Order: sequence, then structure tokens, then C-alpha cells
Amino acid sequence: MRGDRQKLDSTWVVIAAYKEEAALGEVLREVGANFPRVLVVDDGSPDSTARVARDSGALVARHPINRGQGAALQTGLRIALERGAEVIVTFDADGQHRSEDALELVRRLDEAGVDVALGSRFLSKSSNMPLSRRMLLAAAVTFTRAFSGLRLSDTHNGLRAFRRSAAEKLHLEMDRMAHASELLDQIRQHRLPFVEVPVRVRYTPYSMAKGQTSLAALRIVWEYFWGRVLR
Amino acid sequence: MTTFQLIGMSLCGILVAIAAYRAVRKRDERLGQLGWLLVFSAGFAAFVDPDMTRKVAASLGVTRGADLVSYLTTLALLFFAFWLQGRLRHIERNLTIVAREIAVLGARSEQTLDRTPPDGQLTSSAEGQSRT
Repeated sequence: MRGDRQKLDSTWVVIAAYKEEAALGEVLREVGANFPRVLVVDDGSPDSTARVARDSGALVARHPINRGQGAALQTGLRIALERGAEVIVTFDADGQHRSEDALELVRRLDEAGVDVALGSRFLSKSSNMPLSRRMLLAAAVTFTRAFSGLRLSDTHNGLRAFRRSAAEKLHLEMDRMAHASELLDQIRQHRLPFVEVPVRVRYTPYSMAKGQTSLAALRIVWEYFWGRVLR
Repeated sequence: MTTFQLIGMSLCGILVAIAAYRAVRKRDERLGQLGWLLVFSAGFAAFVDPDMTRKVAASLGVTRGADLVSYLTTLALLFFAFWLQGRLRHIERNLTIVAREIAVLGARSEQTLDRTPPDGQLTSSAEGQSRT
């Protein structure tokens, strides 16, 4: 029990947020109940996202202009490492992730003896995932298998946990949504041992509106392509 | 010689002069400027002798001079788009680095304020901030 407490004291939850003033307060209440250290990277939101985060007791870092989720996560990783994090959890700001799943990811790092734990919606028994989203994600899985060579069941899930040693090796340069594929490339490149952990995602009208459309998926492929060509 | 030729020659001539000047004066841009010098010189020559493009096209197996110009323009545009995309990504990357540094500095100052002891002296502790 004491060990768990110590573990969580050195665990930082990094949340990249852009225009999330509506959902962020509730997300931080839920995360804060389990994790004592939370960092919100406000990615240049024009609304009061940063104030909501600060009022909820999170440490706030702020990009002066919007740079994308990948850029915000890399900023979060760097700050968390500077703060001495031994484990870093990435968590979405729109309320689709569950705090208990994040705890499970941290627990599985030790249990499985790996450096990275990746949340997977497709390993979970119950899911209210809409069919259109399921098809889109299946295409993303096929794409990632072809380019990264990693056999994963879910490639664009924002709920992940990294040991410090793994986070230190990650350098995300794809600023926007293609960072999820880039991250998997780097996991493979550095041969980081990983485990997939079943997680459940809440699909609400809010999170669906914030999620990726088919057109956005094409943009991700475009961004990923250029990111690799013009590295 | 038509008015159109005269205008084209003048524009290309100015561009040739600029590229030549930059190639001589700016050492780090020399290769790129020599490339432009070549392009503008070809343009200048084409305006001086429009029949030249036909002759070059024929020697390359392309039937019309206009077709050759069209192919070369397409290739040049593709190259330019690729180069521009690279430059854009470079600038975007630098922009992200600047935004990140500002965010990191801001987060560091939050830590300093949070760790201020009651007597007002700052500590050098690297320990993270706790939520309350």
C-alpha cells in the first residue's frame, strides 16, 4: 500500500488540452482523486482552459499559440521529466478516459515488467464505440501495422503510461494528431517493451464531436507521410 | 521583336542580375542562387529566341517547344512545392520549439512560486508540485 502511494507520488498525469473548458474541470476532479500530480498543457486555448486547470489544482504549462496535441504532449513529457517523474501517464482532456484505467496501466507496467503500457479499446469486453469509429480505428490499426510493424489492437488511444527511461527516449516531432503513429514508430525503433491493457472509453456527444472524422484521418495520414519524408 | 518579348526579357534580365549578385555576395546561398540563375537565363534565352525552345524540344524528342516549356514548368512547380513544404515544416518545428520553451519556462516559474517558503526565500528543491 505504501509502495503504491510512493509510486503514485512519482507518477505524473499529462493532459494536453485545447479549448476544453467545458469538460476539463470534471476530468481533473476524477484524475485528481487517484493521482496527486497532474500537469495540464494548455495548447494555446483562447478560452479559460488554463484557468479551469489551475483552479482544479493542476500544474499548468501554456503554449502561447496552438501547436497541436503531439507538441503539447512532448512539452508535457519534458516538464514531467524535469519534475522527476518516474512514470508518466498521458490522458485525454475530453472526458473519454477513466481514471481507474490509468491506474491499471501504471500497475501493469510493474506487473508485466515493461516500459510502456498502451490502452486498448478493442481488448475491452464492453464498449459503446460507434460503428463508424470502429471502422476508422480498424483502418488506423492496419495502417500502423504496415508502417510501424507493431502488432497492436488499438493505435490511436491517448491513454498510455511510460516509465521514465522510456519517456526520455521519446521525441515527438509530429505536432498534430500523427504523433500517435510517430510514437509507435519510436517505441519500435528503441525496442521498448510494451503491453496493451484493456481500457474503456466513454463515447459521449462531446467526445465524439472532439474526436477524429474520416477527413481528419486522411489529414493524419498526410501529416504522417510528410513527417517521415521530410524528417 | 514583340512587346511581350521585350517585357519578358526585361523581367528575366532583372532576375538574372539579382540571382548573379546574390550568388556572388551570399556564400551560403550560392548553390540555390546558381540554380535560379540557370532558370532565369533559360527564360531570358527563350524570350530572345522563341524558336530555340522548338529546337531543344525536337532534340529531346518532344514535338512542340510549348510542350517542353509546359513539362519543365510542371516539374519546377512540383520541386518548388516539395521545397516549400520542407521549409514550412522547418519553420513550424522551430515555432513549436519556441512555444515549448515558453511553456517550460512558465511551468518552472509556477514551481518557484509554489515552493516559496513562508519567510519568502526560494528553495532549490526539484520536487514536484502537489495538488491540494
